[in-house]
Amino acid sequence: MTINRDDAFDALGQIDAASRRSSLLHLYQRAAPHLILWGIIYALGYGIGQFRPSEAALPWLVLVPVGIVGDVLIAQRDLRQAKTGGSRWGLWFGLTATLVAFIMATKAVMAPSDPRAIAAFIPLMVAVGYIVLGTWTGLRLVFIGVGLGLLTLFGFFVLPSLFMIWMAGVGGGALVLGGLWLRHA
Amino acid sequence: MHTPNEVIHQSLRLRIMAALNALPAQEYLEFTRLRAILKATDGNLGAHLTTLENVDYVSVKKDFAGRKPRTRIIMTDAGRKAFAEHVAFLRTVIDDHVFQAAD
Repeated sequence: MTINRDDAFDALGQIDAASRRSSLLHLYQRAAPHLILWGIIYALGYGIGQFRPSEAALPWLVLVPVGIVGDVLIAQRDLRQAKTGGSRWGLWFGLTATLVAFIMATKAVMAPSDPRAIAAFIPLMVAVGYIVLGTWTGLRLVFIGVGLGLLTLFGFFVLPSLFMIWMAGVGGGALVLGGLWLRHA
Repeated sequence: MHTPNEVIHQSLRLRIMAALNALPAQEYLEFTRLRAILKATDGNLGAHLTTLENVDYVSVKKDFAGRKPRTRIIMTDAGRKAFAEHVAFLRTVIDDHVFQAAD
């Protein structure tokens, strides 16, 4: 068997392309259930906020911990299926804690008088997170982030009185659809 | 001294091995997903997987997910080793040529 330099270049190119695509689809598969989970949480949290505006923050006190526990359970299931013992809990815990601390600090510093402001700020932060992650990994996450950001801004500025229900239906729906889109990539 | 691996070097088998090697160790890949990654046909992919299975580079597992039958593939330790050696060989071919050109 003779393999010359051109054959070797071509083979390494094929390996690189297949590896990239495999890694990307693996990432999409892993991310999909998390997006669907948070889409449902958005729908519940903002939906309750629309109909009980005076208690809009209360459901999130339950829903956010439920979402984090759900994320952990999904990640554990993935690790069991992969039969890998290694995990990066410290990294994910650090990122989550940093994000939560940043949102709380921003809320304290900016002290928004309109509760919709913080209700819009959080999904905008999440949208930025998807865009940044997608820039490094896969374009679908970028599209989902851009979509979520634009829908949030549209609801905030164009539909102020319906913002919460808009975020419940369209924002939550966008995440669920985004998750399904990733799962079927 | 690395030598070419004739089983792996065939184009589709090379890409099968690359796709499996990109996953975490001991992680299965579903046949349908592998087919999507490689844009291969069922018959062609199945035939090449059989070739790789016969030399113990991959293991094919058939089971049910709920009521749906599914076929999953995993790269064996021997497969990972052989793939790594073949990639090292390919790099050697390129490096040697560059070295000769520099002379």
